[in-house]
Amino acid sequence: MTSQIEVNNLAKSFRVAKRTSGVFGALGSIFRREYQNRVALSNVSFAIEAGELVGYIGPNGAGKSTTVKILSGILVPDSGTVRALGMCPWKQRTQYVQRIGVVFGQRTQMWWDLPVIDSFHLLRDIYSVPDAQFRRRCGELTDQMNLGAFLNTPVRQLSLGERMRCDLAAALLHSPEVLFLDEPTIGLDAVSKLALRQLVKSLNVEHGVTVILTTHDMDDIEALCSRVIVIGDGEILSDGPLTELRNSIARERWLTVELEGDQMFSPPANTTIMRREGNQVWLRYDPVITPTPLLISAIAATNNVRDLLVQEPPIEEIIAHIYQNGQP
Amino acid sequence: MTPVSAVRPYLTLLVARCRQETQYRAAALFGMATQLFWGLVRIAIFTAFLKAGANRSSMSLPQTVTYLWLVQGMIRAMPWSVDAEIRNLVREGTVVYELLRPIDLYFSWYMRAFARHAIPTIMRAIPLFVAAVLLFHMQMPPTVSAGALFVTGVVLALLLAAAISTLINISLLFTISGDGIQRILPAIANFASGLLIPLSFLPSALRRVLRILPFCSLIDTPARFYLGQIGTPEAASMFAQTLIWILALSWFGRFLILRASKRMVVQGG
Amino acid sequence: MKSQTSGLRLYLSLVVACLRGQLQYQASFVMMALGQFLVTGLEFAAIAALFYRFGSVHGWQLRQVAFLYGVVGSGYALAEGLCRGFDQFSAIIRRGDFDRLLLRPRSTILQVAAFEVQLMRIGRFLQAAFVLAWALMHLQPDASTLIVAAAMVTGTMCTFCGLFVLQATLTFFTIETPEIVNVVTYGGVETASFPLSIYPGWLRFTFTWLVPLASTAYLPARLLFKAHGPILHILILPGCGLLFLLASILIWRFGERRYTSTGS
Repeated sequence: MTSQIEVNNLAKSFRVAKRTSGVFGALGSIFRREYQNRVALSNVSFAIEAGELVGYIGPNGAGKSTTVKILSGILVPDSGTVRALGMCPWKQRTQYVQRIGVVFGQRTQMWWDLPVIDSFHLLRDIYSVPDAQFRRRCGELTDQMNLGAFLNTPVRQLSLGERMRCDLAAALLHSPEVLFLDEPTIGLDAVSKLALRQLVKSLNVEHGVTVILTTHDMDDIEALCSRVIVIGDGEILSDGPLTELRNSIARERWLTVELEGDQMFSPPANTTIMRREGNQVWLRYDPVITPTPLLISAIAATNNVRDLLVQEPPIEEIIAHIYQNGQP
Repeated sequence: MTPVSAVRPYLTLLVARCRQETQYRAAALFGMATQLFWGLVRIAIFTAFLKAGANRSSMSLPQTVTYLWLVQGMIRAMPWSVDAEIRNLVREGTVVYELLRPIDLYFSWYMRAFARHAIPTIMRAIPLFVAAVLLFHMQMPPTVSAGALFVTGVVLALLLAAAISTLINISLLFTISGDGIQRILPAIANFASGLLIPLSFLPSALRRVLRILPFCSLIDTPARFYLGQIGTPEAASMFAQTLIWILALSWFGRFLILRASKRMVVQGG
Repeated sequence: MKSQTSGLRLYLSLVVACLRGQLQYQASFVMMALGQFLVTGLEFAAIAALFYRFGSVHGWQLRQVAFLYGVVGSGYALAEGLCRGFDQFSAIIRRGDFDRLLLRPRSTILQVAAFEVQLMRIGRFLQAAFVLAWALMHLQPDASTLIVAAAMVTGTMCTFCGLFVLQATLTFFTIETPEIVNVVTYGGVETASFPLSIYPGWLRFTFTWLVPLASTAYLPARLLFKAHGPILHILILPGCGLLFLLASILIWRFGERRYTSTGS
């Protein structure tokens, strides 16, 4: 059996216009420009099975949004093939987008000045959802996402968290088989983030919707994704289960110690001081070699500590690791 | 505070805005091409009318052509639209922070508006006039004093345009009546300034009314100076009239902005 | 294959949605529509003043020019009202909203056209329609005159829609559409409101062969004023507007394909 989405040797580069200065430069640039090639994707291949929940991560400019644009059919690659839902997204765009849903965290697809329900009605017309099916689906989503209280509120008056839930529902009205989420939790408060993650999880588990999630929030990935694809500089750097990724490259933790006053601090065994500023010290350590509780009690026993904070290295750190070491 | 140090922040603002405006050189070039096109269309229309009834005209054909080119050159002095940056300030509510600055909001907006009219006008008008004189039958001013009166008239026109424009920008602070002012003021300005039709072509009763309003100082008055239709003594009283309008409109704008800011401070935006 | 909501129905519901959003700001809308009415009303007043002083132009009387003005003005206002999205297209692309439209299983033409319908445009339309009605009363119209007039308005509307579509297509290639494009839209309104015979050859050529405003307004009007007999054959002329619109749409499709293959 073939996978639901198959991506082979995708490559895409953009021509970026060089800016020219002066009146005649600006004038000339309307007609004839000098271009520079910028490679967005050099060779990307992966396959996604129906019902997977995949995180697609990488630093800004790595090619994430280019991939998503190609996979959703709105951008044509220079070379390579995509077979998704049995179709080529950009060649059969209108048929294809009928079966996918896309949510952008930064932008709403709803009508700003209208009540939420009106946007739903418009989307029903746009996606030609039969009336009976629309009513059933709309009722389901309203219950599940708890939208009842503000279906009649104009979109501009919703909080960001409410709006994201509505946007998610809006993208699901036509029962897509594949859902693309682009930074869905950006700007949300902690409670809304949790609620949204729960919804995405249950969509995936209960309805079997394939979800492809791009994000900068490592917690999103951790809460949702069984599999993570890391992209950097237009290439796939790693593709596999999250635990594998963490354990092989980003097993380390960071500990911030705030000391009582400007005292001496000697690092415990198997830890390294990354930085010290005044009475704050940043340490990195491997939690398998040095379990966190032991480390903390060791530090507290020998130092006068005001506060402690354990963190996972940020996602940029993990990707920096992958860059340095090549394959994990 | 010495007078010099009181004025300095506004001058700094003015210079910064002017410098920013000079960056839109490509836009100025395209604008000039657009104005050339418009000028030729309007000249064709007026020529056809004048040929139909030359004896009824208050201006000769060459004078009318010159007037129409002056209109095209002065088009950026027309107070047509609100300042997009100020619109965003108001829309996002950040305009309240503007009030926290230790400078007079009216004068800082006035300086912005002045730069927004003066620099594009100068950048477009001079090359346009050169092209029109060389290629498209625009006349030079008949005397040196006519030229000097014209230049003075243009400076006053720009000061007045800034005052009207600032008033339009201030109208953003008043929701509903503001929307009306933003549309109606430019519409009246188009007609009453001589942009649509030289005021001397209008019936005399209407013309007399329009020449009392401020808008005629934007285009019609400088154009009449340029054509040598007005002597120096008469010009002095027209300058005085324009100055009075500039002062009155500025005072009114400042009054409105103070009222709006009191309301904003009390109601919290 | 399930049946699709018809394009017309979808366009209408998108337009209605847009209008309902604007009606939330009712008072502002009234003000803006009044303003629009006033802007173009005073423009016409200036034309009337020219006739008041000079009598006629190239043998055309005020009523006859008013007829042309009414046809061109209402055609333009309709085009602006019905597909303003194309006029605003560079902003739509810049904000990334076009990608959203591409993500929907419907024609982009339809979606862009309905993207931003402005209710206040009704001010301009009403003003032009009043002028047109006033001019028509003078012509003592029979049914066929009215049909020709309606066809002229429709043809002019199609021509301006086509111009907006072309202007938007330019955005696929340059991102910023230079101000000079207004020359054919706003300039077209001004030029075509007067008998074409008053213009120099290059202007007549532009608005006859490149932009078919002559055949949707000036030429049929001239035939109408001279007619002594059946006049419905004139209807062929405004049809050029429709052809122009269809051609523009083909060019748009080409531009869109190029856009999705090069990206922004």
